[in-house]
Amino acid sequence: MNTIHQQEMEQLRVLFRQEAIDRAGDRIRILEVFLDTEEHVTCAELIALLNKKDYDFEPDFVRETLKLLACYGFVQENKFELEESTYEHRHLGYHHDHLICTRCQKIVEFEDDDLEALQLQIASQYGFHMLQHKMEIYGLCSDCINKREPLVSIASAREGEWVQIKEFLGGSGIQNRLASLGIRVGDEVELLTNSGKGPLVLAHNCSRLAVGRGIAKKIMIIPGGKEKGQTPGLRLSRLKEGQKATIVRVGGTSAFRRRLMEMGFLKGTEIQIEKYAPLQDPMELILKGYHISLRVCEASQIVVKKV
Amino acid sequence: MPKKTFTVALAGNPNSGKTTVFNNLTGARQKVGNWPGVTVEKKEGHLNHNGYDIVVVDLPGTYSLTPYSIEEIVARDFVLDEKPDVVVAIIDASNLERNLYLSTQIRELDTKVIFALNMIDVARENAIKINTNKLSELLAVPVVSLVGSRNEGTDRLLETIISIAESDKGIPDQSRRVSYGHEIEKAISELNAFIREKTGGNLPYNPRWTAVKLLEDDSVVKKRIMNRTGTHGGAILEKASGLRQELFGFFREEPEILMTDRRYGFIAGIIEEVQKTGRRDRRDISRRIDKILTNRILGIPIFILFMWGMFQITFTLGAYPMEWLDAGVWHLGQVASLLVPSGILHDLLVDGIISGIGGVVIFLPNIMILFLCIAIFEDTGYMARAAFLMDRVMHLIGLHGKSFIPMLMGFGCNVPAIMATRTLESQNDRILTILINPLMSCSARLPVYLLLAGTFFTESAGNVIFAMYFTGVILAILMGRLFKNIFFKGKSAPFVMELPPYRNPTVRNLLIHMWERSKFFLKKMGGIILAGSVIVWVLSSFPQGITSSTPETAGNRYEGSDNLEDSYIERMGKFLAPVFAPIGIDWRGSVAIITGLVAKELVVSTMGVIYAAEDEDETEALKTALTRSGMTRASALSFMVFVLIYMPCIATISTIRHETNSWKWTIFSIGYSTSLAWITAFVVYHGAKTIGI
Ligand SMILES: Nc1nc2c(ncn2[C@@H]2O[C@H](COP(=O)(O)OP(=O)(O)OP(=O)(O)O)[C@@H](O)[C@H]2O)c(=O)[nH]1
Ligand SMILES: [Mg+2]
Ligand SMILES: [Zn+2]
Repeated sequence: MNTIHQQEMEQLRVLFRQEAIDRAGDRIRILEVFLDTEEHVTCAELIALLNKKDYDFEPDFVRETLKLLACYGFVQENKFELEESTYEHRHLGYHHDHLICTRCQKIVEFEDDDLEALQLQIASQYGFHMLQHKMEIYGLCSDCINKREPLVSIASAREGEWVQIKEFLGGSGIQNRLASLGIRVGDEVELLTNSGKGPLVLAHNCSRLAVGRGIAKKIMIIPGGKEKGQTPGLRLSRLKEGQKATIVRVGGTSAFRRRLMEMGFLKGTEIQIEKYAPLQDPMELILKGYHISLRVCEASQIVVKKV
Repeated sequence: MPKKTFTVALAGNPNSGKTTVFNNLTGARQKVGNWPGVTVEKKEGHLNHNGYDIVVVDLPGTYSLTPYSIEEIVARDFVLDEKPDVVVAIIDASNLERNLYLSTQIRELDTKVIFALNMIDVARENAIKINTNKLSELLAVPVVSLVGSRNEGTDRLLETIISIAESDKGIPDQSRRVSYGHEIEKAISELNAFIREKTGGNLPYNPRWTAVKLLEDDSVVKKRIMNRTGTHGGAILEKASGLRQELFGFFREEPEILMTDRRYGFIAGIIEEVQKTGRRDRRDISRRIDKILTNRILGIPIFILFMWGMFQITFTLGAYPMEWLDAGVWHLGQVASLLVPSGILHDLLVDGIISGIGGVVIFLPNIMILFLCIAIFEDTGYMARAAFLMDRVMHLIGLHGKSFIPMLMGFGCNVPAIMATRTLESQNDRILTILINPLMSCSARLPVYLLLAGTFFTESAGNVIFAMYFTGVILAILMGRLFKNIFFKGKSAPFVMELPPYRNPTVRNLLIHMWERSKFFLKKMGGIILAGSVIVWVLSSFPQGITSSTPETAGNRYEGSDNLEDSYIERMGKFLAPVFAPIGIDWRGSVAIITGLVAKELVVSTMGVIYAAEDEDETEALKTALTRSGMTRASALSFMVFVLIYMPCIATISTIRHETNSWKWTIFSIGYSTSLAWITAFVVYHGAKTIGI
């Protein structure tokens, strides 16, 4: 039996004595058996183990003892959703955190010293003496994510759709070539033309790019033109002359956004399309009582809501 | 009593009327125009009042204290670093909210500030009422109302400036200021404390302000901190970037964006209290005018019509005063001939100076008309519309509509036009615009067209001149496209430009504009053109000059034009002739082209001197001399095209050097334009000969 376990048994004796708990000896034996196994066990499994060692305690006593041990912080009870509780060792200052996949129920253990230190620090900030904590991160494991949304190539997207680029197929050669055109993973692009054959035309960062169908097949996006929970909104550039809207979000590079915001393009500001220039570009807007002109593709970085 | 001196800076949004107020205060005649970005350099003026010697500084306009282009950097650096005693924030009262964005930031700078509400007349027209007392009370700054264009309120402004400069309580009380919200304020005070601790107060600016700017990741302030605080600088910047990271983590948004939002929030609160907008008169004249001038169908044709009209007027309307001046010059020559006895002095005066200067000066009216037209474009606000209309076309060469303004200005003179490129935010755009700018035919080249088109294409001279300018524009676009593809690949900067309301141009402004240009032109005549003409005369009259001017020999000179054979200038011309022969330009033209490098006006002067010296009959107009010299329509066209395109004059070259800060681009500009000129002239000459023009 290792020293941590011995220390814990000793602590338990002291505690039981202080709190005047009954049947202390039996309970310590139960802990001994529990500490002997490194598995996560359920109550029934523990009783089976006790039986193997020729202990014959009532199941209710075992269950109650486990609860008590958990209460004093010697045992970690894990209860995942609807399943039966499992119990594991709980060594103060020495334990695992869990990542739990809600889809396939996989549990991944992890340890992180920084996280442990941080938790101690937070507890002490609140004047807490931390005995133990529980860290469970719920989510989808990497296997499940990859299964979640099959990516499709941009060649199958519809004209006029805004899509976010998720991945490039076909190695770093393609990636470099596209990067030299300014296209990177994570960029949002608008598909201007896609006739089903021949090259596609993309609007990206205010320039138009023609991309051969062969390459386009290697640019992967999420189908449906939208990322979960984030519908691309109405773009200012889609409004017609005379229409009014309020600004929802100004996108683009940080310098560009800032310049616009300094000129009064703020969330909630009403904006009216005065006109488009004869060659359809740029456009003239009225904002806060003054007139300003903006290129159409720059206006496409501004998300608005019609009023 | 010793004079008291102090400095006042005029700062504010572009087109808010800073220069107008500057001119009112100092009596200067700096250029005013109704589009954002007229002033690109700081300008100083002096003002004496009640024993005070006040230095007033006019600054380029900016929208915020975060500069994006060179001229904005100038403005901000002056306010931050030169520490003027008083800053007058010129505010366009008809657009209070946006103007307060900059003004309230200036107010936080620990300098004495006055808010000058300019364009009160426009605000009134738009039924905007501003409670100036309340504004002054809320922000603890003196507020003065002005109508700059009518010089109203200038005295009050001046009194306020002096009283604030003299007072020891001029720095506004900061008890009311923008609150950036809990998280950001916490970061500001943390950084503020850190900066104080590290530097012990040895800081260029107020530490809170510095902290705010560092959290906004302001590159200029970062650099200043590094320079000023030495070893601690790194630690401070690191701390700031750590805090930025934290804020970003918290808000998922860049702190500077949040802070801009909060500032506008603060301003909205003030606007709420001080501004009342009444029922607005729906007749918005500006918008109505724009319905036509920037109309989808009519916009561009109208623009081209305006350009065409400008050159037509320049030629046709200018023709009358030109004839009077021409007659005047002729009479002057006659008088001079009578007064000064024959001899070298007579020839110098009549053939050199009067022919040289007279040949150009007669075009003064045309040039004045051209500048008047440009001034009207600038003062009414059409300039910004031209940029709006042409943005798409400029986009073809990867440039901005804004780049079109310097191009239009180039029709006047390339030097201020090249300086005007400072408003462009991207350095690549600037260089490209500078490179193609000389293709915009400046007014100094106009006399060449007027002379040659007037001589060889009498009936359609206006159109020929328009065609010259048009060729320049087309070439500028083609070259721009080419250079963009070779040197400046990549995206062009975003096009964000304010379109100011149309305004009636003030007659005073227009007159000032014309007067300034005329003065400049006349000064040039008295200086470089005079010197140039004298030199050309000397070179064309010697070594045989003295003999050839005597009446006896002059008689045979025309027929046997070999007489001038040995003059220096002819030797020079004949040396160059092989280069110019393929494009139909004779040795006289070659010499004129060479002297034109100094100043393009010298092209015509030189021709005047050479033909005068060659001609037995001084009364004969240069025009007739030209036709008699064997110049054809084709060679005239070729000559005009060459003059249009070839290397820019010395003043322009030195401006290019200064503005690009690169010899490489300067030399490139000279090289490409000259080769392009030769090639185009060759094509034009042979093309014209083939189709029989
Ligand atoms: N109606 C009206 N127009 C004004 C007033 N003050 C100036 N203007 C006009 O506003 C326009 C801009 O004036 P400028 O003085 O050139 O403005 P600025 O602030 O120096 O502009 P930049 O140098 O471009 O930053 C000009 O057309 C002026 O005639 C005013 O009080 N009322
Ligand atoms: Mg100005
Ligand atoms: Zn899973």
